[in-house]
Amino acid sequence: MLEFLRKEGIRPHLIQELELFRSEYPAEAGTQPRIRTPRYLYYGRKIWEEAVAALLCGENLLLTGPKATGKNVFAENLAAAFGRPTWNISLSIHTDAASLIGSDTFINGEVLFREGPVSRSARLGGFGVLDEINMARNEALAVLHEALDFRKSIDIPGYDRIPLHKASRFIATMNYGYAGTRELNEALASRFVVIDMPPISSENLQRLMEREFPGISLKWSGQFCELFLELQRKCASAEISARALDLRGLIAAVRLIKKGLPAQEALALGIINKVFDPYERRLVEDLINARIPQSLGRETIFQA
Amino acid sequence: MPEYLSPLEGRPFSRLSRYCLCRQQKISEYWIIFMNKIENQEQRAKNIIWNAAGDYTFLPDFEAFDADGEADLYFNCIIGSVHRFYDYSLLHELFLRIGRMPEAELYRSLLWLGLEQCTYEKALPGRPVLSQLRILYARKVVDRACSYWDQELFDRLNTAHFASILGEKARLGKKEKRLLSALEFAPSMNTEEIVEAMCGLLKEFFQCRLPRLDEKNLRFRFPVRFRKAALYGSLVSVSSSDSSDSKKNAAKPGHTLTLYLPVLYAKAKYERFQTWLEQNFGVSIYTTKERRELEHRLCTGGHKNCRLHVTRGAFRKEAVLNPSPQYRAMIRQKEQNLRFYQDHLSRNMLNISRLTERILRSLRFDSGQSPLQGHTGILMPERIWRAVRLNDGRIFQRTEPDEKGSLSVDLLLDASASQRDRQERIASQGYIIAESLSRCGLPVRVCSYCTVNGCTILHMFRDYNEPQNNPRVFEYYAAGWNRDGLAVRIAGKRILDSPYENRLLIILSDCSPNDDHKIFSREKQIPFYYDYGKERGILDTAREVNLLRRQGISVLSVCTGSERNLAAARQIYGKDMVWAKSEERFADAVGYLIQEKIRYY
Repeated sequence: MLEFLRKEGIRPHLIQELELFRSEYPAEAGTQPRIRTPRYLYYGRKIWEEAVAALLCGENLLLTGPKATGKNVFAENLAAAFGRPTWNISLSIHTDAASLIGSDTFINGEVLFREGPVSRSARLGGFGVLDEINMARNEALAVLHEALDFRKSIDIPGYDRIPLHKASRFIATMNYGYAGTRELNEALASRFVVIDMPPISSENLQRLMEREFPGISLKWSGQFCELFLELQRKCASAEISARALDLRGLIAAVRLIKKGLPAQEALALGIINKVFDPYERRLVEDLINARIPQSLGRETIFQA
Repeated sequence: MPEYLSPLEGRPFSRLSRYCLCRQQKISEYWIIFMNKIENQEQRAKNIIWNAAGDYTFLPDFEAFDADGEADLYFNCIIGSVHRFYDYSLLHELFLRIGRMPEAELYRSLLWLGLEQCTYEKALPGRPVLSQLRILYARKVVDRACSYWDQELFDRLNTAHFASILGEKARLGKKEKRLLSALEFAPSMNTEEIVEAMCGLLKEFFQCRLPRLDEKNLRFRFPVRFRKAALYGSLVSVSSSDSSDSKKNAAKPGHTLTLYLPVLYAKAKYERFQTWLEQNFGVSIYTTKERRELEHRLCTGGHKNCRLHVTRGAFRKEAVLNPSPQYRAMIRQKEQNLRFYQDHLSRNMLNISRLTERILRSLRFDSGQSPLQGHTGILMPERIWRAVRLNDGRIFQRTEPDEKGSLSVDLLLDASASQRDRQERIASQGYIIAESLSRCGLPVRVCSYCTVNGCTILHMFRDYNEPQNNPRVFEYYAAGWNRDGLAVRIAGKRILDSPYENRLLIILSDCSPNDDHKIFSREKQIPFYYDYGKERGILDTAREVNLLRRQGISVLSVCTGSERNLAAARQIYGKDMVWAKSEERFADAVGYLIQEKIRYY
C-alpha cells in the first residue's frame, strides 16, 4: 500500500509519518482478519494527502460526494494504509444507539454487556467506517459525540467508560442531497474534518480499468471511461436518475465481456437493466449505442 | 413546412428528418420534418445531441428523426458534434440568414450535408462507433432512395454522398458533382471558413446572396408584455370593471377586450382596488389589520410596495347577484375544467390510484418501527429471567411499523395568464395530486396564485382538514401575472405557521416568473426598480425557494410549461422538479418525486 502511495506521488514526509504510525501501533491480537488488502485502489494525490494528514493529526474524517466517487473504496484504502482493522457500520434510519455501542446480552445465566461495532473498534484501535452517516437519525448518533471529540471515550450507561485506543479513528461517508438523506446536525459535523470527494476523473478511471483488466485495449477502455463520464454528465443535468451511474456495473460489464459476452449484452446486464423506467432506459441505451458498437466483443477489446 | 419563427424569439425553427423523400408520398419539403413527433422521441433526440455535444445547457435548433418517427442516433450524434467542434453561434446565424431565403429548406439541408462530412471526420477519433453508425445510416439512405429522375436536387446529392461512403456509385450530373464536392467541407476548416464556403457556394451555384439579419423586419412590434396583455383578456376585465361605465361595457362583451396599460392601475384608489379584488377573486380571509401586518412582514426587499390578498374564493352576495366578467369567466372555466376531467376520467382515475398506491407504499414501507414485547419475535436476553422466575413468556420483541409523523403537503398552483392554454390540465393535475394525498390520509392544502396590479392573490381551494373540498380545485382559473417569489414567500409563511412537523410544498408552475410590478433592488449603488421577469424573476424565486428549504420545508416542483422553461425550472428548484410532459407519465413522475421526499421523514 505504501508503495502505491509513493507511486501516487504523496509527499515523502507524510509517508514517513505513516510508517512511524504503523510501527508505533501494531495490530492488536485477534484483529488481523479485519486488516484487509483493498480490492480497488483510490487514485488522486490531493485527496490522499489531505486525508492522511488529517488522520495523522488524530482527526475524524467525513467523506462527502455523489454516487460513484469512491467514498467507501477510499475509506478502506485509508485503513489499509494505516494498517488498522476496519469495522464497517452501515447506518440507516433504524440505527439506534444500542446497535452502535452495544447492548445487554444473556451469557451463562448472567446479563452482560455485548460490545457494538463502534465501541469494539474504539477499544481495539480500529477504523470505524460510518457508512451513509446522514441516513441515521441525529439522536442515534449523539452517542458518538463523546468518542469523536477531545474526550476520546465512550461512556456506556451502567458500565464503564471505554477510553478510545490512540490509533482509533472514525471515517464517515455521506451523499449529500441524496434521496432520503437528512441534514447532518451541526454538533456532529463539527467533530469531523470534511473532504469533498470529486467525481472520478477520466484519467483515474482509465488507470482503474487498466489495473482491473490488464491487457484491455487502450482505445476501448478509453471508450468505456468516456461512456461513464457521459452518464455522469447526463445525471448532473437531471436528464436521468443516478441509477445508471454505476461504476460497479460498468466494471462488472467489462468483466462479463472478458468472459466472452458481447459488449452490448454485458452492458445491458451491468447498466441498462438497472434502469426500470422505459423512457430513461431508452436514453441510457442511446448513450451506450453512441459509444459501443453492436459487434464489439472480447476479441477486439482484449487483444492480448 | 415547419413554421418559421422570428430569430428574435430564438426558438428552434425546423427539425431534420430523413428518408421521407419518395415521390409517391408527394413530399416536397425534402427531409424536413415531422413537427408532431412524440414528445419522448424529441427528448430522446435532444439527449443524444446533448450527449454528443458534452453540453446540456443549450436547446438544439435541429433534431433528426427517421421515417418511423424515431430519434436517429447517427445524425443526432452529428448535430451534437457540430456543437462540440464548431462555434455554433456563427452557424446559428447562418441558419437564420438562410431561413430568410425562398429556398431555405433546400439550403439548410445542403449545409447539414456538408457539415455531416467534416464533423464526422472530426468526431471519429473520439467516438470510433461513428464509423459503424454511419454505414448503417448510409445503407438506410441508399436503400430508400428512388431513381435519379424521380429525385429532387437535394435527394440526388444526399444519395450520392452516402452511396460513396458505402463504396457504391450513384448517378449525378456534372454540375451536381461539382456542387457535392464543394459541399463536402474539409475537416481542417474552421467555422468561419465553413460559413464563407457556404456563402460562396450559394453565390456560385444558386446565384443568390445571403440576406443580412438586420434586413427587413422593420415592422413595429409591441413589447412582449403588451402583446401578452392584449392576448389574454385577464387584464381587460380589470379595465372594464375599474372604469365607471362598466354597465356599458358589459352590454358589449366584445369591448371588454381592450388593452389596459398597467401603468394606469397605479392610479386606482386603494379601497376601490380592494373592492374590485373582492368582486373578482373573493373576500379576503384576513381582516384589514391582519393583512397590513402580513404585508408589512412579507412585502419587503424586492417586493416593496407589493400587496397581498388571500381568499377562499367566497364572494359577497352582491358579487354573485351582479357578477363581474371575471366572476363569470371563472364559473365558465370551472365547467370546462370539470368537463375536461370527465372526458379523461379513466386516465385520471388511473393516475389517482397509481399515485395513491405509490405514496402509500412509501409511507408504510418507510415509516419507523416501534418495539413491542410479546411471545414471539427476537429474544431479549435481559428479559429471560422473567421466564425462569416469573413464568412470564413475554421475553421476545417484535417491531410494529409506526404511523408516519405529522406530515402536511401544500400544493401551490400557478394561475397566471401564461397558463391559460392549459388551465384544464393543471386543474386536473392539481386535483389528482390533492385527491391521492387525501386518500393516503395526509393533510393537504391547495392554493393557486396570481398577481394583478402588484397584488399577489392566493386563492385557497381547500385547507388541511377539508378533504371534502378537493373538487374545489376545479375552480382554478388563470389570470394576471405571476410574482412567484412573493407567492412562495407567503405560501411558506402560512406553512410555517401550521402545526405540522414535516412539511412539503409542491408547486405546479411554468417557472417563468413575470410581473408588471417591478422588483426593487439595491444591488447597485443607486437603488433601482427592475422588470420582474426572466433572470431576475427566476433568481428571486430561487432565493425564496432556498430560504424555505433552509427552514425545513421541502419544496418540489412540477413544471407545467413547455420544455423551454425547463432550464429556469432547474435553476429554481434544482433536482427536485419534474416536467409534466405527458398525462400518462404524470402520476409516475410526481409519485417518484413525492416518494423520494417523504421516504425519510
